[in-house]
Amino acid sequence: MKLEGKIFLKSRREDVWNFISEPVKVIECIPGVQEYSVTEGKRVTAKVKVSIGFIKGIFNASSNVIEEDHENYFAKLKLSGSGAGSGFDALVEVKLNEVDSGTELAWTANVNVSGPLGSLAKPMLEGYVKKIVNQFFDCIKYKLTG
Amino acid sequence: MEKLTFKYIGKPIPPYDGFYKVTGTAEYTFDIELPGMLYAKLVTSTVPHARIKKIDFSKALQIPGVVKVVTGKDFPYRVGMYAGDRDLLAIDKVRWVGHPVAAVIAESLEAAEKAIDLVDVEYEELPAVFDPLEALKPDAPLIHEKMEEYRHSPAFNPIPGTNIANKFTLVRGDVEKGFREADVIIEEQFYIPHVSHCYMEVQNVVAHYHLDGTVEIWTSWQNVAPIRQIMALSLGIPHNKIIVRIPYVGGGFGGKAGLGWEALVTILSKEAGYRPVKLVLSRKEQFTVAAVREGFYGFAKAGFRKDGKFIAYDVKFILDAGAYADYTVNVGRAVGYSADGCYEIPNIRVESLTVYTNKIPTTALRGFGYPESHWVLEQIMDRAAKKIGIDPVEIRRINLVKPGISETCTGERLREDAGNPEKVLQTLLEEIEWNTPPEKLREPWKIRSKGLALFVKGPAQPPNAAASAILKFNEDASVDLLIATGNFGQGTITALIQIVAEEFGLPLEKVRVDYIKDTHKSAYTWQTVGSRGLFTDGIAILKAIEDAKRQIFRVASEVLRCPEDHLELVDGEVRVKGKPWMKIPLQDIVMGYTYPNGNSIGGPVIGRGVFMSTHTTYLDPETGQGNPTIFHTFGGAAVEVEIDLLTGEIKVLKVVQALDLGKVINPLLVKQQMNGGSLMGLSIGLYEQIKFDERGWVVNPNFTNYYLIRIKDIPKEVVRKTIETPQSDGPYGARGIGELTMIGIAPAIANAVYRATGVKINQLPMNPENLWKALKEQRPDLFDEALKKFIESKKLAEVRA
Amino acid sequence: MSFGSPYFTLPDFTYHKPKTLREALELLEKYGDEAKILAGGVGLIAFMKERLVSPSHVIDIKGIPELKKLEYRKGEGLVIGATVTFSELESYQVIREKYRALYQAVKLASDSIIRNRATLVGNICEAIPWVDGPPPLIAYGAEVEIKSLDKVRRVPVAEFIKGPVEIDLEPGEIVTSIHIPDVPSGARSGFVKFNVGSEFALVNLAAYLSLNEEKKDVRLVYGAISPKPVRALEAEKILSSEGDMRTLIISAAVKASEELEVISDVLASEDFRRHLIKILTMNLLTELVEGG
Repeated sequence: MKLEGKIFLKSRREDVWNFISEPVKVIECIPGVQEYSVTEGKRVTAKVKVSIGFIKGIFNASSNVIEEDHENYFAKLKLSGSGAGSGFDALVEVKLNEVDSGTELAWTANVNVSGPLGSLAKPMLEGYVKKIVNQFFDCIKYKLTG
Repeated sequence: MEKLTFKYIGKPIPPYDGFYKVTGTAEYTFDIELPGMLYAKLVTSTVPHARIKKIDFSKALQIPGVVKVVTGKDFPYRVGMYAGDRDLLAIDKVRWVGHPVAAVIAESLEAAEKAIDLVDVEYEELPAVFDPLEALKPDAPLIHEKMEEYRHSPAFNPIPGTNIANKFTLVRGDVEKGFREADVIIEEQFYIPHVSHCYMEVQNVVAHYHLDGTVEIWTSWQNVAPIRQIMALSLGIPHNKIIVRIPYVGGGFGGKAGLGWEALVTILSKEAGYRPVKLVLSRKEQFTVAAVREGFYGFAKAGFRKDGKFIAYDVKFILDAGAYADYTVNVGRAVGYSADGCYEIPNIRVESLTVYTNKIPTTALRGFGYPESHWVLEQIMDRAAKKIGIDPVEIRRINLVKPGISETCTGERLREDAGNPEKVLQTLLEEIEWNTPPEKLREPWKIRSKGLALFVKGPAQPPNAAASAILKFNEDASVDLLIATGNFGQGTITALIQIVAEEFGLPLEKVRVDYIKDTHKSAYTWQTVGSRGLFTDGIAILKAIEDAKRQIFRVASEVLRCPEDHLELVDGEVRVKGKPWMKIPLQDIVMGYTYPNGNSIGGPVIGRGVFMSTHTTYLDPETGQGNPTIFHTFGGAAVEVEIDLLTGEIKVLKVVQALDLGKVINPLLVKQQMNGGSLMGLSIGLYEQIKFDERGWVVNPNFTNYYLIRIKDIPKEVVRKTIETPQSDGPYGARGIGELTMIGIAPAIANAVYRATGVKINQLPMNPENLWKALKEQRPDLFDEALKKFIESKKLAEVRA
Repeated sequence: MSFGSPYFTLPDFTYHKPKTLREALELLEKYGDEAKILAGGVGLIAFMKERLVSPSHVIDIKGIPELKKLEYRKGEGLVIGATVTFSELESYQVIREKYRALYQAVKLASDSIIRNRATLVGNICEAIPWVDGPPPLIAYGAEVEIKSLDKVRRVPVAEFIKGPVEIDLEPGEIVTSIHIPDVPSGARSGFVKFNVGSEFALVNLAAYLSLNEEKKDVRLVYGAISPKPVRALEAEKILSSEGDMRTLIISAAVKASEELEVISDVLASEDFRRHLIKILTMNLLTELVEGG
């Protein structure tokens, strides 16, 4: 499942970059996150509560920075995790572009879900992931600009 | 053996264990509960290929009742039967989704299952490869880096530095020359997906490592001997300190051959402070953690002369063995040397590669490579027949091997009494009424058709795979038969009891075989696999009977003052031939004979016998030439099917199976084997398939989404025919049957479809969607016509004014 | 974490067996989100074993007599209580005679061991796409009755099922029954599914035709093909137009196979499902037209 989107932030590109480069700041914006830890630089592990329809489960998730290119304001992350008998991984790319009076954050995500969640709730997953992503960026927006 | 009439041989004796099974008193490994027993549960990988960076089980240890968590790095053992490539728990890296990385040992299953959720494993993912064709490419990720260190059997040829676990080659004649002379050339690709054994009893083991170093194991497995042998060689525990016991087993189908979880659970028992430990796999784990049947590709090129003679066959098999190929390397070898089926092909070249991928490990499954080689070959025969313009039966007749004259592709001359393939074919034709065209249906979008396939199979075993039997008498002349032959539903033991009862003239209930197979107490047999049990252990038992008879006759000869060769054993008595009043009851001899004055001679009678094949050999590594097997059972399957051209549904209406068994020891059990094998063949042919997603996860690890044949799918008619061409060295002339009934069903169905529609189904399963796709691609006209007929017959066409 | 859910055991929970509906509702009120209703258990236990749900409280409603209600009243229709099983529906004469689509769906669902246990209300509440209960109910315009301590509401089954594993049910609420309107005389209904080589239907279809009145009333409801059961509205329109029904069947079947959103999953591809929609629609409509 491929998803993409753009959001506009009323902050300088450098400020956005600095913010999103801080795992601790970013992770608190993940909806449903219950506990987390940061190890070895920027590897993050977290427990995330997921609820899709009446399915509820705790996912153990982790995120690794694969590429970080400050010069071009580009980053690539690999997210993966498992819970509720299911597993997922996601390759996320983020690029910051300077635009009038702020920064445009363009993202793409390639998400795969395996296990009963993948087969049972597949048709709903896209909507669910979009919802999560929107909540996530709303939170970032709020934290950056208040 | 010179007897012409038998009391028990050839009679429909009900299975000896039926009573215990229907009353629920049969004891399975699952029923074993020992004082202080702990429960193990596996933590398994969620990624297909990765380095294990860290395993944190501190939280799991906090669950009340958890005794210990162990990981693979503590036990760097490699185990295995043939390739020797398996670990007990993942060491350093995981190779498939489902690979056990840790085991939790707890006071209860509940605690263990809670704890596995709290074991955190950190992986560093590596590129994974799921398709064996991709895995063969030079830049493919390497799944086993240290293949050269594996302790593999000399029969195999792994190629370190690649993903090839075994390369089998066979060359006979000159294929290039053959193709130059051929008038018709058929080239096709075939595919078979992974399937599960689906035995009723899931794999489960109880192991107890005693303080004195003795290991006791109960396990739901086919054979005791290889477990002991592999554990002794790999773990360094002396053979006589390992006691393996197998009680009743709920099905095996090859999936419980070699070694299972016994070595792991033994180690767990030691780690848990020498307390017994039980491990039971769930059905889901059977589909994802335990080994299943491999995926299979066949690339075939076949050349025929226009008179129908098969003159060149160049075939490449590629087996998707998954992460561990321990047993599958031998499947790769068997599929290779069975490429020629029951035909004489003067020029043949076979390459069979068993290839590692990041999928579930694989192993034997009823048929052991023969269903695969015949899925290819038997369809080629029909394709060639059509191209040449002769009947599928005719082309088979032209090429059929002739026992006593023909040589197989390994260069083995078939013995004169190997069987009667011609009669097998004839029987099929009669029973399926080959020359009577199938009925035309009132629903014209459905058509009926008949198809058939022939096959041949022998046990795929090492040349020195022995068997032995011990029989000892009790005071009342009842017999305890000490044999290790596995009893997992086939009925072999009932047949073996019949043999003993027959030879001593005893009632059946006087012969007892302990239901527990025990390395310590049962006589050695290599394995019960490959349809060999009745043949090999039957011979060992006949020799043990001979041995016991010699002892009995020696004593009787003294007592009756009559030469030994004038004596016979009838109805539990030793009699002088022709003078039946001169006799001694067996019970007066079997513990020694005592004269009226107290003088005694002889002693307790114990018979021993062995089976050892003396003519089998390893196969030449370059050419595949040699004698791989101890017998060949010839057989065939024919089906009548009804094809719904609108939905792609194939309904099998009638199945005929014909087998040359040499001698039917027990017709009731043969009938049951033929029923069971027919249904298993139908199920795998029509429905079964383990499906993987793009991340290597099995998407249907349950019977909801992995469909198994059900009562509503069973054909109305299953005809079972046996032919008896006795093989002089078999027990009463018998050959094996177990796996044979599986082999012909799928190609017979595919041939029936091809015959009626010209549609080639090169891929299993032949489910509605696959047939619909094939129809749409190959014969869209047929489909359109069927739809037109439907509309016409239902009068749905718009009537225009 | 392990691959899949390899468990034998269920997650820990407290078991409750109320004797009255009020008692059940009080428990639900008390435990809210943490509670799940157990009727037949065919869905819930499987979900719990998979760890897709792990309720701390399981409330077994099989001991509540009023939920066993199964009653038909002329003019009002059929009421099916929350604990009525498939087997009980199968042997209820009125269903066999008047509600053919429901009867056939119930009879064809799974196997007799499951049917002895599974309830129709549970079948709806499970809200997985491949089951056989919802399509006929939607075709008849059935509603579910939902109760909580302070209110009662009714929702059409078509709206109650919002998507896979998602239903219109708030914490504290319980589905007490299904209400199916009475079927006008002369109306016909039927159900068909394709499940060769599959435990679940690849496609199922309930059709309802009422031709007696001045306006044709045609409903086609498909299950297993999309996240929730759907009606083929365009195809229904074709069938409701002027002319001999028989001559409209092909174009309606073709339309149905084109107009709907269809999924690919472990059971079948989208293409094959579209094909089956066409074939099943032709078959069922022909049968219904011939039957009258």
